[in-house]
Amino acid sequence: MIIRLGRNIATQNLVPGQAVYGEDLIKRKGVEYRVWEPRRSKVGATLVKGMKFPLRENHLVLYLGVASGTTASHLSDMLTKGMLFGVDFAPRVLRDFVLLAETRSNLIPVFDTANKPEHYRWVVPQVDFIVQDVAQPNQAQILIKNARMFLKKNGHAFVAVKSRSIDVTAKPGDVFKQFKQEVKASGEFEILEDIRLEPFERDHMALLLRKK
Amino acid sequence: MVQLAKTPVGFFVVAMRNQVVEFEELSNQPDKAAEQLLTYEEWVTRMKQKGYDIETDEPALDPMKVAELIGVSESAYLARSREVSIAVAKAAIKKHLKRDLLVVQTVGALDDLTKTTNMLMNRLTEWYGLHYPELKVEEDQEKYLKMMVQGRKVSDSMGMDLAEEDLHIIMDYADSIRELFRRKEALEAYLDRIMAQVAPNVHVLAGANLGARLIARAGGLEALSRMPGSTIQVLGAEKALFKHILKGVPPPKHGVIFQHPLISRAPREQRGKLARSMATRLAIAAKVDFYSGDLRPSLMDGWAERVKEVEQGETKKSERSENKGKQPPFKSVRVKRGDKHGKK
Repeated sequence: MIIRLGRNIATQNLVPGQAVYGEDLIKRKGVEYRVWEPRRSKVGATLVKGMKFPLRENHLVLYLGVASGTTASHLSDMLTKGMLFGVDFAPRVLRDFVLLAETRSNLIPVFDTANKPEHYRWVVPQVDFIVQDVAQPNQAQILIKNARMFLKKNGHAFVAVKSRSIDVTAKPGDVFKQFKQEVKASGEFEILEDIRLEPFERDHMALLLRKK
Repeated sequence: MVQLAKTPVGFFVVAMRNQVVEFEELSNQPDKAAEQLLTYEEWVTRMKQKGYDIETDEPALDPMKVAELIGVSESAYLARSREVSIAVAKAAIKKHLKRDLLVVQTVGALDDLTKTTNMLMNRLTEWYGLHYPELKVEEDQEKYLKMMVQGRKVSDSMGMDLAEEDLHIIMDYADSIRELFRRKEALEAYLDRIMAQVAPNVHVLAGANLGARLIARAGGLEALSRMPGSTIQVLGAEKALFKHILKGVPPPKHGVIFQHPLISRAPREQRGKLARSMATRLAIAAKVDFYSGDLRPSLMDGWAERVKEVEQGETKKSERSENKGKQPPFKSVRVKRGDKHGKK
């Protein structure tokens, strides 16, 4: 699903000819790939750094903080038999994601705050995978609430934690430690991997979790 | 006991988690279905009137599993969800686009024009200066342009003589700059008009330009209306504010609010106090503008007294206790808790 091209990674373009955010399109043996920019996407950064990302082509994904869909577009490439629900509460960026969803049959826009999972229960079913990139001070609680409502047992969650969004004054290391404790204390997850995103993002950590 | 479920396919009453006792199907047309989804609460009321004993403590049902009960396959459910969600999201985004966003763009366009005209004028004065270096109009770019067009020139100028064609090109260039100045004037007048509609109280207190800047910095009138005065006071001084939070240097006294003539013209040591006082008034003004939209001239009540107080230095303790029984200056415009507009 993901190929390595020298230093870059890329996904096979689900909509040949379409570049979503100005990324390069590359042809290999007649197949078109979209280069995944690690500086534009935290999932991309962790993949370049070698973290596991157990997404399968038939997964149902809930993406919290989907924004314009830069990262989601690559997940869309990978989900050839799956579906992604992208939640965001900022109208300006969700506008772009709606336009993207109209061109890709495996993307669903949800205009709501990830703080209120009950608001979108009417459309989102149980999912295999949650991706969270929300940059909110209470993002651990947001994750836990959503996982309780939507994530299947043994389902995975990928979380990007931005230290400065949680507490600008604290040291990033302390914020990350606290975050992991909060996630563990919920009893919902097992932490599989954690990784810092330098040099692609400053003061960011990515976590891979599995629901118990 | 039954459970209710709202899904992209329709509304369900489900007994024992797997028996559909009522089903209200939504339209096949996504736009229509998006509208029908908004009537869910009314449908719930109807179901209650029908006498169903509704379970509310149980977690909500998985909509895909509920749809499966009437034979909707997973792939059909997902395809349908996508169509309906796109329609719902489009309608919701449309609802969010209000006229304050025009204010944000207009003030941005004004800034762009100011930057551009400054840049173009720099070039023009250098260029035309080859021909007429004696022409200097300090600070007034529009006057410079006017003098240029008049074309009179001192007889003993040390400037270069220009051919008809050279002069023509420079004049055309100057003309396009004059056009930009005219555009700026038109935008300023327009900004004044829409600010008076969108945020009449902020407009009166801060003026069109500063008011628009505050709305732009906050990210819209709703966002501004949710801000406390202390945040409004330092909008535009984020760098200094974070330096304060991180390194403990003294906090900034004012952000863009400094542009307010009552603050920037005040003596240095009074500006912080006046900025704080103006910011709290603006916070109330923004709330009134967002939630009611009426003009409340009383928002400036007590300002002159406050300025006098600040001029005379610290209020004495005895004076403060005298003021105790008096009404706070803005009581009349406070948004009450539980007011229909007070909470969303």
